[in-house]
Amino acid sequence: MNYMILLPVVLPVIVGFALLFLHEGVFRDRQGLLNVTGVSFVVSAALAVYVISGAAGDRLVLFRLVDDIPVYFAVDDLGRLFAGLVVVVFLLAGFFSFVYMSHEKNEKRYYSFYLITFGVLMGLCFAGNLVTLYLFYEFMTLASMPLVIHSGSKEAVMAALKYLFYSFCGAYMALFGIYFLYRYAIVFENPGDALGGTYYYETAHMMGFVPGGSLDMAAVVESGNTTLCLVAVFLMLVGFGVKAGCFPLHAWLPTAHPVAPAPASAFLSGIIVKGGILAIIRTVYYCVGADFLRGTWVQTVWGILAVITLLMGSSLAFKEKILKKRLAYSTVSNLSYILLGLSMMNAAAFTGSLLHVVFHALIKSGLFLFAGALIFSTGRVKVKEFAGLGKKMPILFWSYTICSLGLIGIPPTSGVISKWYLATGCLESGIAGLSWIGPVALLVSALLTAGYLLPLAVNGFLKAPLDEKEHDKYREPAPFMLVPVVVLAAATLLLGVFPAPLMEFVGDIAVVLK
Amino acid sequence: MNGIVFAVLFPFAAAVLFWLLFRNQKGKNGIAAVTMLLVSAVETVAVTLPLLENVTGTPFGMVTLAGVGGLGLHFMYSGFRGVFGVLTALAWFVTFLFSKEYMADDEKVVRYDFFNLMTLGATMGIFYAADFFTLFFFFEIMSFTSFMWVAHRQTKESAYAAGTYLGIAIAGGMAILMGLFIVYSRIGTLYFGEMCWETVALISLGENPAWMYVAAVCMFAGFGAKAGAFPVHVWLPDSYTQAPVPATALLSAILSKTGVFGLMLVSLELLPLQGSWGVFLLAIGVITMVVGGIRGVMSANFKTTLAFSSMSQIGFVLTGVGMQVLLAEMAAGFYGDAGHFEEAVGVFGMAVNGTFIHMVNHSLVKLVLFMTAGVVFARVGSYELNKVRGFGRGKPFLLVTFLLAAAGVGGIPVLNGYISKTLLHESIVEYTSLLGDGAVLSGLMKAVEGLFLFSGGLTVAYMTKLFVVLFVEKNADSALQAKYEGQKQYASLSTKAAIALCALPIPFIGLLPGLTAERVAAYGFVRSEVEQWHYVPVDVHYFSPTSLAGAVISIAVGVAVYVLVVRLWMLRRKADGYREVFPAWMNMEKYLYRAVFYTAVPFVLGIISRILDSIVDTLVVLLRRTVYCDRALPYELPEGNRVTHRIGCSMERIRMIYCMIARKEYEPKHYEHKLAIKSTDIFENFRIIERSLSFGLFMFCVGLGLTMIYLLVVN
Repeated sequence: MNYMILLPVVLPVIVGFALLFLHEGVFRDRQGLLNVTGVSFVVSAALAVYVISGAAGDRLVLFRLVDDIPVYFAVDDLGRLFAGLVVVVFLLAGFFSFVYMSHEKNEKRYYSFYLITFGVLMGLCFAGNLVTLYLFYEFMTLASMPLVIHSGSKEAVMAALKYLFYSFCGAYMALFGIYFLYRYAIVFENPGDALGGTYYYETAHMMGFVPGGSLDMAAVVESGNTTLCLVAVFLMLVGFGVKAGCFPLHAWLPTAHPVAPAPASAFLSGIIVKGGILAIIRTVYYCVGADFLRGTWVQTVWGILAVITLLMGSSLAFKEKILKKRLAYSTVSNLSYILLGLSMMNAAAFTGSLLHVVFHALIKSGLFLFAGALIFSTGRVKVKEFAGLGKKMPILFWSYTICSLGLIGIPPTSGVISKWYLATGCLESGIAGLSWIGPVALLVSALLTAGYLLPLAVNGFLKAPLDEKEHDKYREPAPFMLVPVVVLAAATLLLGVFPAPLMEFVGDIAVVLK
Repeated sequence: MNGIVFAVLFPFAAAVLFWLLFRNQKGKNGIAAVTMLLVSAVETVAVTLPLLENVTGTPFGMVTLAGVGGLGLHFMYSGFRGVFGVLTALAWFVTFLFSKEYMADDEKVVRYDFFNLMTLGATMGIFYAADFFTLFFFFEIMSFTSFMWVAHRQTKESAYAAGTYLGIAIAGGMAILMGLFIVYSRIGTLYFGEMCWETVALISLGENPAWMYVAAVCMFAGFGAKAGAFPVHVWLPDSYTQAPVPATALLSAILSKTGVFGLMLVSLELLPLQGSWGVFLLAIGVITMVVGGIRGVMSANFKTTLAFSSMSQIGFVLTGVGMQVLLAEMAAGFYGDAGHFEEAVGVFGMAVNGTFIHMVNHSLVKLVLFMTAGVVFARVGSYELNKVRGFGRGKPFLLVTFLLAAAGVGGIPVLNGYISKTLLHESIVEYTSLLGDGAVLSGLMKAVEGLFLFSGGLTVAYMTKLFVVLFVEKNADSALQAKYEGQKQYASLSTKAAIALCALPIPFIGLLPGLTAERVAAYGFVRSEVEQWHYVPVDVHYFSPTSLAGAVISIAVGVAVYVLVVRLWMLRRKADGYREVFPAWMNMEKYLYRAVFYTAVPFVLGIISRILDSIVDTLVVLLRRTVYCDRALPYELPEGNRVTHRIGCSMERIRMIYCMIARKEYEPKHYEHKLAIKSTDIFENFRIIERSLSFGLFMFCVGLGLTMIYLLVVN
């Protein structure tokens, strides 16, 4: 058995809890705490990389919940992609927080939950069947809630409650779907062959992730419950869609993300929301099977919801005055680019979605870290208060500009590539109406994106500062804060100019559709 | 062949290196300027080499940078690209030469040069692109880097202009992208040369070409905006006026041509032989040249006049592109009818040559004119006609170069504009005669011809206006006039060299069209869907009476317009000098585009989104208020209990309302407090009573009494 797969899941959780319960006095000073945390970050990330590389084997049945359903881990390319993304953003935002959190209280608690969340996310990425995925999905909500509530203000508490309310509503909808679909799951007698594994010898295994779906569709048709089944899948989509900020259950996102400390916002907006996306991909493409949904009302309604969300998110971001809230609304919009692509159920759009998962994670983390660096050094929160700062912090603002161009989708940055695949995928899908409304909505949203991101860059470089006297003391932020932002901006640019390796990797995953 | 890739990438590399070397060097503009000159000289050599290698101008080769930007970048060489590559590199060279003096005191020269080089690279990328994706890739880069030209001066006006420029550039870019999406998903290729065959094949299979028109109109929004075509020209006047002069010269001379280039490719590759598209472009071209001309005549600002002149000339070019499409369709229709076919191809050649030569002419002329404007601005500090008045008196170099350029673009015989305008005019006339009398279009074509000559007249009128202001009239302020006339050292040698370099070809093209213009046009013959129609030498007698008649009509119109509009209307009150006579409320940019796209649309979208955003939250709140019976957070009242608090507050409010109605002075009576004290008193008394023995006996008594009553009732 490949118990090594468990390492990046379990170790961060253990370390996290240890940190949580250890007395403050154990660490001589703040630096002591940071050293311990830093080492555990690096070790956790290294373990994750070890599993991603495939050296730890690719599947593991931990134990059985009931006879047919094990808690089961499988490392496939999709999981690798998401896990790799988590590791990158986890490390960058983690090191960023070493400086940023010096202004906040309860640093120890923050790091411990940050580590626990990482462990849980690894579990989510490597989950091998729907039940395991659901388990970690719930843990993810619980583990990330303390990051939202961190500051302890009334606003933060209310936001955290809202976050919990929406997340659980969604999770229960999804759970209902799982209960329903469970009856139609194929029991693989020898799943080692079906799952393409090498030496898998368990006898009964349900709701595992198989490219193309693992439900017995013949049984569904025979039972005459096709419509009910579609409703169940739709509920799962809406339920998991909560995490992905899909209309109508998106309202928690712009409330919860901005109140968290900036590095946590970056992690929430860049990575944790992708948990919802991963769950949806697993459900639709690896469990139910895209063939079952293609051409049904579920696909159409899903696409329409995504279009509504992406336009709504962008227009609200355009109207928003507080930087972090603006970025949160932008996350709502961008996640729906991904959902729109997934709802099209063809290879081009699927590739576009996965590319946008990667690009958005990097860009949005970069933008939130940028916002954090600005808030940390100036104490201001509104967009127009940052006028003229570009002259004092050129590297930071250049990084921001590149990330913004990436999110708008201007060559040579990365965003244009994912948009290209998403739009051509939409047009290829041939769904009446949506096939061209989708690309138009994408471009209108891109225009709004330009409208809400670029003024900050332009005013930062070209406008006079609000307060000359105050202005003189601002400097480029400390290296621990600056480097992560620069790295993310550089990634945006590099992936835009040389996307070939990534596209090849993602293209291999998109084979599920062929 | 790798030379063109070098030409595209070299400026980018140079820009980064330049920035790394010079970013901290303040006040060493001289060294920076020399570096720029060297870079642009190397660039010029790099783009000239393929010209020598390939003396016929036939397109060849394709270089691929695989995987870059997703689809890979592809470059190719053709005569048209070669000519414009050289023209671009030369334009950058002369503007750098010009900036040496003009930008000498500019604090931000390093930033300016950095973005300038990036724009050069991107422009080269556009001209050498072999597919639409590459074109789009560099077009977007060019839009963003050239934004810094407009924003360069960092004044309030330039920020406003830059805001419009960026908005239109991004919107246009997205529109182009939409067009590309449609094309790519329909025909699966974006390569020039492949696309047209695919579309021809699709149409011959009976496919409805409506989607191609949608794609083409989308792309028109983007490319047309950069060219300055009506109705997406709105950024042009402000941006041209606000950018520093060398940048304006480049915007007008080169960047507008990238837009035209894009539209030409749309016409050739996406909608080959589609007459309706030709009519669309023709209409756009005519409106653009007339609107630009009218606004040019009515402007009281030197640079804005030139900006509108630019727009008007692009209108001429677009008219030419429209004629090309119409003539190509006509020639294809005559296929098999050898006599007519030959004739139509000949006229088609006229339109192609006229368009091409006019593009080159306009680049040269506008470089001269804008640089002259820069010389004026450097000494006068303003572009207003009343301030500029009389500056040119006693400055023969300025007089000669300005006159060459102004008369050149005005279509005065023996100068360059005459050649291209005659070709375009001839193509319209010949097309009308080929159509025959009965055709639907022939009436329309007569109108087009009339408007063409009228616009030519407008060109003459506004150029006369500028010439008179600069060289004939004296300034109202005689002290200033004396100062102007005393300025003999008004420009350095490098500045003069830059202007002279661009003015030199103007009479050559005009006097010896057969040796210059036609040779260049033959080389640059646009590779098109009619590839098999080899270049036909154009048979036009430039100085025949019929050709001259057009010019004479234009000049007559020009003189009439000048007298009527400028002398009689703009100068109505002599003391005030020149007035802006164009009504301010007709500002499309401010009252239509900004109002709709920056205010109305976001407002409506915002309201709808706000409603959608709060649906679920509202629902949750409603449920909590009704079904779930959510209680408010409990909090301690400072005194009394909830009943006294409610009653006290209500009484206080009633009293307040009573006072308001009775118009009495309101004094708070603190009912809440009084009631609270009362209730405390009462409760205290109760407590005393409760705990006393007498209360116990009293309750015992009550109990007995109740028992008695019960017994009575039961019995």
